[in-house]
Amino acid sequence: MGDASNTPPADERSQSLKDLHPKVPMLSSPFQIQKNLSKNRYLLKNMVNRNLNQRYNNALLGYLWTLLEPALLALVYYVLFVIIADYEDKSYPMLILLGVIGYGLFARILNSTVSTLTANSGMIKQSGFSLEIYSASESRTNLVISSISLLTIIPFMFYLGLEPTSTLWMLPVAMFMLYVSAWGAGLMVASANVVFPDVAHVFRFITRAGFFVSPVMWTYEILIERAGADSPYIDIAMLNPIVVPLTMMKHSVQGTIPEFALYHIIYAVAFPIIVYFLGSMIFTATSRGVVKRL
Amino acid sequence: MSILKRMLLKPFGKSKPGPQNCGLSDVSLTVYKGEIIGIIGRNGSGKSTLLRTMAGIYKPDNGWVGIDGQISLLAGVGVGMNKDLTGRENIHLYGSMLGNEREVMDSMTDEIIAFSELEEFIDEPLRTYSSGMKARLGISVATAVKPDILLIDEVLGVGDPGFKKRSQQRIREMMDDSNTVVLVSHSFSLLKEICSRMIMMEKGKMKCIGTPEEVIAAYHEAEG
Repeated sequence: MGDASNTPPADERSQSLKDLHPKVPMLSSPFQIQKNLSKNRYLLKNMVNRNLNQRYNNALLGYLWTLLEPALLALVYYVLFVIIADYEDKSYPMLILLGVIGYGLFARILNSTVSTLTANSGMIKQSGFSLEIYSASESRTNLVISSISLLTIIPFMFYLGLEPTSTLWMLPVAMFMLYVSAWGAGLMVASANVVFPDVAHVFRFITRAGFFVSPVMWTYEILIERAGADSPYIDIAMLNPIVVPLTMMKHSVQGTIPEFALYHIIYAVAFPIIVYFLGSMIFTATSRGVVKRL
Repeated sequence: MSILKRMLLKPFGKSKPGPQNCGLSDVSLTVYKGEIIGIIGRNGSGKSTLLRTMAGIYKPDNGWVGIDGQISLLAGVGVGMNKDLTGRENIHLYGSMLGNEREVMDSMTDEIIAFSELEEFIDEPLRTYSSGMKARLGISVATAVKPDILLIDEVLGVGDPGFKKRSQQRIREMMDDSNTVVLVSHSFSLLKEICSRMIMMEKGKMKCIGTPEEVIAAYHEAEG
């Protein structure tokens, strides 16, 4: 019988074997993640299909719920603000609905990414594929759902006599900004959530509270009007990185361009990029190490 | 190291083995191309941890794992499959989870269905399948694609006797094709029949390595 040692030749590493956990330089992590996602795009597509199926297949109306839910919400807002409260601005329910869809996208991606490792622990312990695929598939599922939900805006546009204009380009750009910000921020703390499960609770609270400090029920223009264009409170409010994309979403269907200060625009564009870079670096460096704690 | 730094970094560092987490130590093993290696040991001895470390799921705190070729882990029957998708859709889902491209799965689907003998039910949702049927589907996908290295964790004993025999036959074919297999099983008769070498794990260490007869004898001796 052989003993329990079966040591490979020292030079074997450098010859033909591929290291299962190669060291990824910090700065190349964001690109490595994109490379992994591109390499696994077939798996990603299958997982998005699976997620959509899981959510809607058991329901009687199935995928129709992606449209029905926002449509029913829109009806509630219309009754509340136009019929009961008799708001002068008839577009207000539509603006709220756009805010709800945009904010919902951000909050769902953020929360699902924060708990991506704990929520998929069973599968992670049985499959060796890249860990970012779990959060990427969940985030893309939410992007698909929110994009379909946006179709409920069309009847509102007809009702308000709004024609699609060139400003509609802002809609996908704003949604992409929300997607990247939420995914990046989630990746930053996903590993920490394995060690300290309180992290997910904190983020759930943040996204609930964030609903009120984001332009969902209010608009950037209302803020300017109430606080005054030169008020320091404007700068404080604009620290919230989703004020710009949510406002862009609203203006895109109204056919207008929002008037932001240049440094607010720079901040809003830089935020998702920086958060994604940081998130990918932290996730790549820490995620595989915490798997054994799942 | 400052207290703050220790508090922040310690949780992400080395893990302590617990009842659910048998840490491995001083494990050094080379598996050669075409080998079928069986791993035995008591529950909690580190068999599955070793297999998952080989699959790249667990990152060793110290040391190194290197591979040459495509690796697939077959563990936990039906993991990742979706109960609302049909058997056919799950073939593609599970196949892609094992690292295969669409073209490969498209070309293998008919063979997978035939091997699993689930032709009649393949377009039914997975929730209508028995656990044995799910296992048959899982094994059929995992072994059809013929990865260079196949790791199997205690799932070969599923299905009726006929399917078990065919699964074992397929593993043998993989060996003939110079594919490499590492499997964890409690079925000594199966391991004795198909393995070229065996390993016995105990408390996270490789207790012994040798021919199936030698290692099984050592296991019985250790068990008293």
